[in-house]
Amino acid sequence: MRLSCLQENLSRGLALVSRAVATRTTLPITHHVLMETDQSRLKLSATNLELAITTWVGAKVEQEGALTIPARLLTDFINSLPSEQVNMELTPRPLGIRFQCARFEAHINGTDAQEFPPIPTVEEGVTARIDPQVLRTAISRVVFAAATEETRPVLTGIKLEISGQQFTLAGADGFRLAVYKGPLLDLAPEDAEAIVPARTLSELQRLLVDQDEPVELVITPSKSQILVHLKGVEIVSQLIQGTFPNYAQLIPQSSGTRAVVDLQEFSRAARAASIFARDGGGIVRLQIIPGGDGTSGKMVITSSAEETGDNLGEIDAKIDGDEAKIAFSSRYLTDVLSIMERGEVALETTTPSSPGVVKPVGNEDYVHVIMPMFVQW
Amino acid sequence: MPIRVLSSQLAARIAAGEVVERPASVVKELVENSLDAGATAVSVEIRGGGLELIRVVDNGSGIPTGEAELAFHRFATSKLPLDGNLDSITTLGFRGEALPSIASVSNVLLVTRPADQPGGVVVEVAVGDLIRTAPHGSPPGTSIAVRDLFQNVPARLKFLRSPPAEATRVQTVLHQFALAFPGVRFHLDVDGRASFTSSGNGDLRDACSAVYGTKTAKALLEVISESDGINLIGVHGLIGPPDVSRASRSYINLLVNRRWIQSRALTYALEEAYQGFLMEHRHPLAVINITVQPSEVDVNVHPAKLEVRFLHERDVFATLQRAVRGALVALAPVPNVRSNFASSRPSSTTTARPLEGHQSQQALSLFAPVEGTDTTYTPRGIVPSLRVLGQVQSLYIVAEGPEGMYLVDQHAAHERVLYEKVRREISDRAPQSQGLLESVVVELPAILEESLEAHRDEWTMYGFDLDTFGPHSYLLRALPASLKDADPEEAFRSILEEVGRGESKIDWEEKMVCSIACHSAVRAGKTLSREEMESLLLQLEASDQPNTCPHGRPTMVHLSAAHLQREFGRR
Repeated sequence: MRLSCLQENLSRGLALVSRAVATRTTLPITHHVLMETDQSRLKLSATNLELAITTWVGAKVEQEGALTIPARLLTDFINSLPSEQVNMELTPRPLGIRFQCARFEAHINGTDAQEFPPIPTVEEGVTARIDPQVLRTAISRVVFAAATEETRPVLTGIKLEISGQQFTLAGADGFRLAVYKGPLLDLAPEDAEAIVPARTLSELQRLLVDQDEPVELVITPSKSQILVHLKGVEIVSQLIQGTFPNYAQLIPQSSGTRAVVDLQEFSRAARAASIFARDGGGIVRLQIIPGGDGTSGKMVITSSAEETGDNLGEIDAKIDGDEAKIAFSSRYLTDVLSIMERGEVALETTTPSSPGVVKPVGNEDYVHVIMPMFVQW
Repeated sequence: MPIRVLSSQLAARIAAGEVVERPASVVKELVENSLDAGATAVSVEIRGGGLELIRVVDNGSGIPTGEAELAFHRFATSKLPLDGNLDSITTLGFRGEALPSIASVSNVLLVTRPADQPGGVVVEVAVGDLIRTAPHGSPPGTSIAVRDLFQNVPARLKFLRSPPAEATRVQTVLHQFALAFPGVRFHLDVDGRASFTSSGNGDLRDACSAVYGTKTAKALLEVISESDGINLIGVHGLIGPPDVSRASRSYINLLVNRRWIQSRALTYALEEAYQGFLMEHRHPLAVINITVQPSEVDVNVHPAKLEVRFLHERDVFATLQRAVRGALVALAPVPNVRSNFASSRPSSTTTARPLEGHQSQQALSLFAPVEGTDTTYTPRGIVPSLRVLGQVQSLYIVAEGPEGMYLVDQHAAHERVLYEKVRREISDRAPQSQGLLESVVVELPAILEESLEAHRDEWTMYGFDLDTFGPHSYLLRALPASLKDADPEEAFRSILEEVGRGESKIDWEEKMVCSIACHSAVRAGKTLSREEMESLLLQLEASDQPNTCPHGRPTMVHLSAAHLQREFGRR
């Protein structure tokens, strides 16, 4: 293998794939990055066995070949080089690659490419195309609601549904549920669904930042893998097997009280309350009080901790329905408020022990359900 | 048969049955007499398990020549004044029964001389009959030899164990005396060999050292609760730290006014004080003397005086518990990492051959951990100064602190923190209950259903929101917030199984809190970030009893700098 490419392209490529390099593993080869010539490009791949990221770097290939190199070492070394052409040549003994750039020369030992775990290839499946910024928003709205503990593996994933002209992402951790619906760019050829690891979507969200071309998702017919095509990058991820809760029936269809408030005000009050809630086990209490004659309605947000003190915040609210009370884990409340976009949000409740629903006003694309804390009022 | 008054000899033999059960009880009675006579050295010799010979020699006040014979009469005693008051007994004996009872079932030879008399006297009694009384030379004090015990009570002989087993019981009695009277030097010869000696220097720790070995004695914690003007109960003694525990209760020595007693209730009170410090089925080692006003305690419950009754029982228990618990929290050090020196230091193995008697205790001290300084660090004291270095096996937090390295069991530590949190929530009547997104239907077998129904309201109090959902099934709608990271159904089921019906309300509550804490705590095998580890130590620092998890496992162990230095051959 003999080739050359520009240091900045190689550096960018390595930064992309290194997100998939395993951090804690019993399989040392997964600490490596696979370097492979692919026609007139250099193909870089990394995998932690759940997620694989592949990208291509423009290169001048003189001789074909492949080798794996420790990812961290290679990335650190390439990043320290000047922004010039990097020449690479495979050396058989000791097996490795000799790098030369400007007046730097280095040799890094590698391992035979045959030993690298095969990156799954996805040949066919249900394909959907989504606008990259729509997908990025969708992921940001649901991914934090997924469970982080492995006690129920399906809940560490995000349910992806493709149907007609629409896709749905849903995440839940047993106490809250986030559902986002967005448009597909083309009519889906057939309905499909999968449970994608939340970690995969977090990585995808990061890669989507500077994307402007449509993103292509392909779910294999066996529902074991999903392939995501971005410009110059391919992500293949294992899917989580199992049955995701039937989330549609967990979203209340009606409510006794609906309070519409300004997101920024609500956010500020919730954050202030969460400071006091830390010691008190993270409970934030909300009281929704409809306005009387001539006075407007309000929402009162309180929290207290025996050792620290207590806090009360009031915000204006437009209220439909009766007075209501509900208590939430402060983290659940601040989590959802922090990912919503400015404007108005609605909080819908019925009783202190039935779910609270947070929605943007004037937009049906997002629903967030939080189960309350059962407290003494 | 007509009713007759029993002959005095027969009556004495029947009475002897209660007081003189076996050789060890003879030794107990005789040594008590020595102690009541103010002896500062008591030497005991036995042969054939005490059946051939029991000889007790003391340096006490002795018996005046004219009274020596009288000592063998029933209900004859010098320990109570005329028209004496049984309410304020300060001597160990007082009934005047022991010596005649013993004499009625053996041959007794008594030689005694008070220090202020020029000559002594010998009294010989054979199976209750006086053989002779004669002047006899003697050092000051009393020597009493009991031969051929139970020769006229074959039924009793049948129920005795082998001579070595009886000798062990005698030794146990001597141990109890040595612990109760550290100011008296005790010595025991068994079949001509010295088997036990206490120093008699008045230091309880030295007495413990003679009985339990130097290493154990050194680790014991001091309990002091002085009686004050209001509370006239004093508690003094030494107790084992949590890492010195035993598989049986026979290492619990409770003394009331220096009298060794058996009391289920006091033992229970002591073990309660250890609640959460010891693992299940482990029992503490303790030597505790409870001082009460003689009028506040009735020792005359049983002829052998092993049982006592207190006038203000609750106060005694409470004082004992407070004192012991206080000592444990304040003094129990972080347990040291133990290592097998015999295997790690081959050169020492030659000296590790078994030795007999107290010599082996000296040999053991060669292997005791080298102390860097005499300062011990309690978990409460060191947690704030710990600096997290990392995690081992996703299970132990490694930290540096004063005098070396500390390993913290993440699960045990978190369990302790949550245990106290749940306890607080319950006592504030503010359980934190988190609703479930999807209610879970749980089907229960009859036995679990019964356990649940027995405490249905309490389950709600602890944060489980349950609805009946048809026969044998329940709808679980909310969980204690601490259990958020657990699988709801699995956690509920496991807790229900662990808690069961509970033997009492207190037992049930304790199990419930323990169980919630256990299932909520960070699991062994979870990789923690540095922030998580530091936060856990901060929480542990704030807990009331950071020493152990609620089940009594230690939260942390200490690998001392001295230990490390030795392992690396630096000294």
